[in-house]
Parts: sequence; C-alpha cells; structure tokens
Amino acid sequence: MSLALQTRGLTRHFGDLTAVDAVDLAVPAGSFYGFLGPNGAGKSTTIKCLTGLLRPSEGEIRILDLDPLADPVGVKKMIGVLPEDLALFDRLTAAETLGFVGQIHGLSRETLEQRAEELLTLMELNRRKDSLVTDFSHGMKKKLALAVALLPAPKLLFLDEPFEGIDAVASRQIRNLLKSYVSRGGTIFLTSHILQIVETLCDQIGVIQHGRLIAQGSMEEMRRGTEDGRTLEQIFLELVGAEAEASAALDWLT
Amino acid sequence: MLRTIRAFLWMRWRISRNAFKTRQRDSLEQISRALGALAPVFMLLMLVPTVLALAAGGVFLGWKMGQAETVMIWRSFGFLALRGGLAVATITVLIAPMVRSSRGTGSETTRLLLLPIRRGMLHASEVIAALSDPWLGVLFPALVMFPIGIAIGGSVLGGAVSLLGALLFVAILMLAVSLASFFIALIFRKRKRAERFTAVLIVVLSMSGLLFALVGDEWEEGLEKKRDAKRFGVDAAEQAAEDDPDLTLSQHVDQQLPFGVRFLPSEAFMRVVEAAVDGHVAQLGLNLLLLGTWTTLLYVSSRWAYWRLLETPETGGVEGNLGAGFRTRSLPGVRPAVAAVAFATMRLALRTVRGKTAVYLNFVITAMIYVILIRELSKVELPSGLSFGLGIGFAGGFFTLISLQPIMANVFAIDSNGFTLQLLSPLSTSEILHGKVVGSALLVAISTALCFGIGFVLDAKGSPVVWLAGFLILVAMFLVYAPMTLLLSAVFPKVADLSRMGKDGNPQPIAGFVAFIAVPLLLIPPALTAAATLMIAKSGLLTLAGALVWLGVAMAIYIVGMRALCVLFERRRENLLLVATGR
Repeated sequence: MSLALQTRGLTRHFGDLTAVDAVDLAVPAGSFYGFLGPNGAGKSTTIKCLTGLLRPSEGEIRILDLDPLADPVGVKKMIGVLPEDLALFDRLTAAETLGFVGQIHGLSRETLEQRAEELLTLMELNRRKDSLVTDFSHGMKKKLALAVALLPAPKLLFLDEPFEGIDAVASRQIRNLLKSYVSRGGTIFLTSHILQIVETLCDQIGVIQHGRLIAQGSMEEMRRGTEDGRTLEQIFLELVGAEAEASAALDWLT
Repeated sequence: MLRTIRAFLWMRWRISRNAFKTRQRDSLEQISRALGALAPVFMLLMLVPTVLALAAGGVFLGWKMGQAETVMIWRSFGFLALRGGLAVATITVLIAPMVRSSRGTGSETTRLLLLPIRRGMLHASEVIAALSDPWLGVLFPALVMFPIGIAIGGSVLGGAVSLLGALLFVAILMLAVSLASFFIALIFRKRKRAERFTAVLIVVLSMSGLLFALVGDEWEEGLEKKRDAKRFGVDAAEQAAEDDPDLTLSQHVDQQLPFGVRFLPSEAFMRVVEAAVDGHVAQLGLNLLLLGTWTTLLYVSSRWAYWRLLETPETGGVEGNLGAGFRTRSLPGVRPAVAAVAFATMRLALRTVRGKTAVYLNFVITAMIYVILIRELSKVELPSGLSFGLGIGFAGGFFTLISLQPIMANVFAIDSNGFTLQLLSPLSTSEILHGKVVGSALLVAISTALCFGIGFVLDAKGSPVVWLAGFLILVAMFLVYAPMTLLLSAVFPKVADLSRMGKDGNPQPIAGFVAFIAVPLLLIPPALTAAATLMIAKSGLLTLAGALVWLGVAMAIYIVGMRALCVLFERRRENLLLVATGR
C-alpha cells in the first residue's frame, strides 16, 4: 500500500505547550482520511505542519514521496489546501483570486478559464465572480476557498472543516464532488466535527487528543472489537472519553 | 451598576494585558508589540507636563479672577482669552473622533448587547470612556482647577458655582465627543460609505493647507481686514466699558460678535464663571440653564445615535462590477508567479482608501505646489538643465514614497488572510519578496508617472539628460527603500485596515517612523551629488553619471539586502502569519 502522506514523530511545541506530540500518520494514496479530535486537540496545528504553514519542532514528514521541509515548493505544487482561516485576499474578486492561483500554478489561460467557470458554477458563485471577497458571506468564502484548493487539480487535498457554514444543497454537491475526486485516485485528508458526514465519506480514520494520535485505521478496523452497529460518533466519544464527562456535571442547569 | 463598571474596567485591563501573552509569538514579535503599545504611553508621558501646566494655569487664572482687587480690564481680557481657548478646544475635541474613526465601531459593541446589561448602562459607559480621549484628558484637569483657583482667590461661592458650570461643560464635551464617535461609527457600518468618508477626509485635510496658500494674497488681505475690525471692536468695547461701567468688557465684545455665538457651550460656561464672580444672578441662572439644555440635548442625541448604532448591522455596501474576470497579467522580465503576487499587491492597495489617495492624490498636490511656487519663484534662476517641471515630477516621486509608507512598511500584514494563501501556494520566499517589491514598484510608478507627466505638461524646459538623471535617482532611492521597508514589515508587522484613518490603518509606530524618515535620508547622497554636478561643474552629463553610480550602489544594496531578507523572512514567517491572520 503506497502512502500519500506519512509522518514519524511529528511534534510541535508552542513555548511550554506541546500542541502535536509524536504523531505517526499513515494516509494511503487514494483514500478519504478523516482526522478527528475534540476542540484544541491539535488537528489544525497538524494540518498547518503538513502544509508548510508551521515548521515542526521534531519529526519527519513525507508527502507524495517528497519532504516538504526540503522541497516546499515541489510539495505545494501537488497539494490543495482549505485552511481554517480560508486564506483569501479580502479585496480581490472571486475571479481574480482564481486567476492569481492559476497563474502561480502555471495554468494556461484556457485551462484556467474552463476550470474556474466549472468550479464557480458548482459552488453557485458564478454570478458573484466579479464581487470582492470581503462582501461574501462566510459560506460563500468557504466555497471559494474550496474552489481555490481544487483549481490546480491537486493529488492530495487538505480540508479543514469544509462543511462548517455550508448550506445543505452545496454540502451535498461538495460531498459528491469529493467522492468522485477520490474515486479517480485523489487523496483527501479531512477534519470535521460533523461525524455523520465523516462516517459516510471516509474510509480511513485517525483520532487525535491532547496532541497525541490515539487511534488510526480503516473504518472496519475502528469498529473491530466493538459491538455491532456502533456509529462513528459512539466510537469517537468512547475513544476520547467524553460520555462520562458530559453526563457528570451541570445538575444545577434547569 | 458598580458591579458592571467594575466588570468593564477589569475586562479592558485584561484585554490590554493579555495582548502581550501569547505562546505562539516569538520574542522579537513580543518586543515589537510591546514597543507598539508603548508608543501611546510615551505620548501620554509627554502630555503630562502639558496637563500639569494647564492645571496650574487654571488655578492661577482662577485665583486672579477670584481676587476682588484684580484690575477689571485684565480680568476681562483673561475671560476673553479663555473663551477663545475653550472654543478652539471644543472644535479640536470634536474633530479628533473623525480622524481616529475607530471607537465603538467594532463588533464588540454588538457582543455586549448579548449580556444582561441595559442599553442605557452601555451608553453611559461609552460616554464616560470619552474621558480617555487625550484632548479631553488634557482639558479636564484645567477646567476643574480653574473654579478651585477662583475659590482660593477669595470668591468661594463663585468658585462653587463655577465648578458646577465646569462639570456641566465637561459633560457636554464628553457627550459631544461620544455623539461624534457614534455618528462616525454609523458611517463605518457600511464599508463603501466609510471608504468614501475617509477619502473625502484625507483629501480635505491634505488640500486645506494648500488651498489657503493658493488664495494667498487675498487671504492675507482678508485677515488684515479682520484684524483691523477686531482691534476696532476691542477699542470700541474698551471705550464702551469706560462709558458704561455696569457692563463687563466681554459683554461689550459680544456686541461685535454674531448673536448666536453666545449660545455655544464654551461661551455659556465662561459667562457662568463671569457672572458667578461678579454676582450677576440673572446671567448666572440663564447660562446655567443653557448649559443644562445643551447637556440634555446632547444626551438625548447621543443616546439615540448609540441605539441606532447597536441596531445597524455592518454591511459591505454596493460594489460595482469590477469585471477583471480570470484575466492574468504578465510583466516583461518578471516570472509569472512574481507578477501574480505583484498584481495582487497592487490591486489590494488600489482598492483601499489609503492606497488610492497615496497613488492618485500626489500629482494633484504637486500641481498645486507648482502653482504656488511659480507665483513666488518665477524670477528665480534655476541651474542650467533644471526646470520646475522636473522639480514637480521629482517631488511627486519623493512624496509618493512617503505616502506609500502605510503599505510598504507593513506589506505582509495588510494582506490579512491572503498572506496564508501566498504561503500555501507553490511560491519560493524569493518570489514572494520580489512580488511584493514589484507590486510596490507598480504603485510608485503609477503615481510618479502622473507627477512627471504633469510636470512635463506644466514646464517641459530643462535638459533631457537631467530629467533622466532625476528619474534614475528616484529609481535608486526605491531600490534601497524597498528592501528597507520589507525588513520593517517583517520585523514589525501589525494588523491594519488601509481604508481607515488613524492608528487602525497605520503601520506599527516604529516601522512607520523609520520608513518616514528614511525617504529624506535616502535623498541626501544623490541630491548632494546632483547639486555639486549642476551648480559647481555645471554639467548635466556629470549629473547623469552621478545618478548612474548611485543607481549601481543602490542595485548592489538591493541584491545583498534581498538575500538577507529571504533568510529573515523564513525565520519570521510563522509570526507574520499569526499577525496577518489576526492572532
């Protein structure tokens, strides 16, 4: 099994805080990998380390057989990223944003126009393509950021909470698009708190808590050894030990 | 109520204290933020002597006014001076929120609405916060100490009543400042409207001095006439005061002023003081009533404006179709990725108020300077090869570098989340940095070309060789200035909105100051060379040769500087990212 993404001992410190602690990820090529964890577990920091926004304190990373620390530009040519802050210029239009990304990736004018038109149509942004990003709603910005990530046709997609703030219709369209992308050989590394969506989309799961990877494997492997019919949500809550905490307190709350 | 005020004070203290506490920032970033935060503290420390002097002056003046033996004419002049001073102070206090344009505009106001606090309480806390306005803070001790001085001088009752008047006047100023702030915040609720307002303000402030100079002689004549009229008014008032000793000098001067002036709060306050000291009960009562009326009116208005503010959501406004489509642009000799960063930088700047005014206003200002200069210096003989047209073009380029300082000295942080997009894109550090330099160069080129163009149209004389030398000197200045501002941007990044005036749109204070003084300093070596070659050697060719030498030196500095900057940028990129994304 070839790996699209692999880390060994990936660690990131912020002062005396260890946000990511010796994480060993193994994401098979062509898989839909769901990276789960409670708030503040280290998901976004891990993605930032993987995509070159943060430099790891320790550990190794291999992305599509390249070392992103040694060849960051080479890796970035092959990946697409939807980061948590969406990474868009406020005062460029949607079309200019896609033009900017296309030019940097060296797309020809025809390819750029064709892909951008299709993506904006899919995201229902084509009527607003000449509006400034600053005038977009949060959902529209997220769709545009996803279009930006998809435009260069990357081999590996990093998606940080892609469905948060997206309406149901667009969410369904995006899910279909992502499934189709994986079926054609692409790899997706996704974080989401919507476990029902993760369960329907992902075939590989990793769970992080307090910066440490506490479980990793296929959906079947995650369910192995548990009762039949258990949902991903139940497995996740059991792994992070949240059920007992939730039922323990707040008896004053009427 | 006290609990709420305590909670607010605690919240503001923690917010300012926590601004320095973040594990994710490196030590250089901590220092940069501390220095940025300390700049207002230094300003405050510089204000302390002014506050003390004004307070002491207030006590002294009050003491003199309160003494029964103080000569009538001097007392009257004291009142007149105070009336003028307070009128100027009132105007200053009201203009300050327009330039600052940030208080009460943020989403934190709306967030406070979710708390179980009455709107009236929120409004009161905002009005009280007006005391933190530096202008009001300077004025407040002097206003309070003045009645105390009157009491010390012997007129205890006069002092007590004057203190009541002073407190009413301070309340009026606080409410007026708040009302102005709320109105400006309402304007800023709509982005496009805010940008237009800021643009108009920048144009008016930039042009006001020049307009006065343009009307020149007529203005001077007008002033002289007014001075004569004033002298006559005072003489007449003094004469009238001698004829009718029951009336104060101020009352006689009033007859020379428009009737409506006496209804101004500063005037009413001074009349309260005057009447309290002199024992004119009717005048005292009327003017206290007037101050009370002003307080009530302003309270009602500011409360209404505040409530409107709370209920008005922030919107973008209607933006025209920008219509650039997916079009990409290239630049000769520039890699496509560098050109993409450069055009993004240029577009971003030109879609902000600061960027637009920095690029498109310089040629108007330089043209106006020419009109003023030509009147004053038409008989001045310039060294051979020079012309006023070249001077206009060169001055325009010089001022362009200065006016682009908010963009060039903070070039990473102004990208906001767009900076993340650049870091995620397959761009090398060198491509990002060169893209920023080329983007800034495009902005400088647009403005400078307009200035040279207007200079050429107005006065095309002079040697073409010297014109070329002038242009090359500007290019050389830019080649040194650009890496210098990149260095400042990397070391002192600060979140800034280039469509705002005041500190919200400014770079970090140290970066702004260094970038500001760097431009004239960079001009000194080539200017001295040009002056020597033109005035002593009287040779345009030597001037060009000097400019070329300086260009070579600048090129070498640029190449070495950019290499060093690539290393620095790599070290600073995580902090730059945190600042740009507002963390």
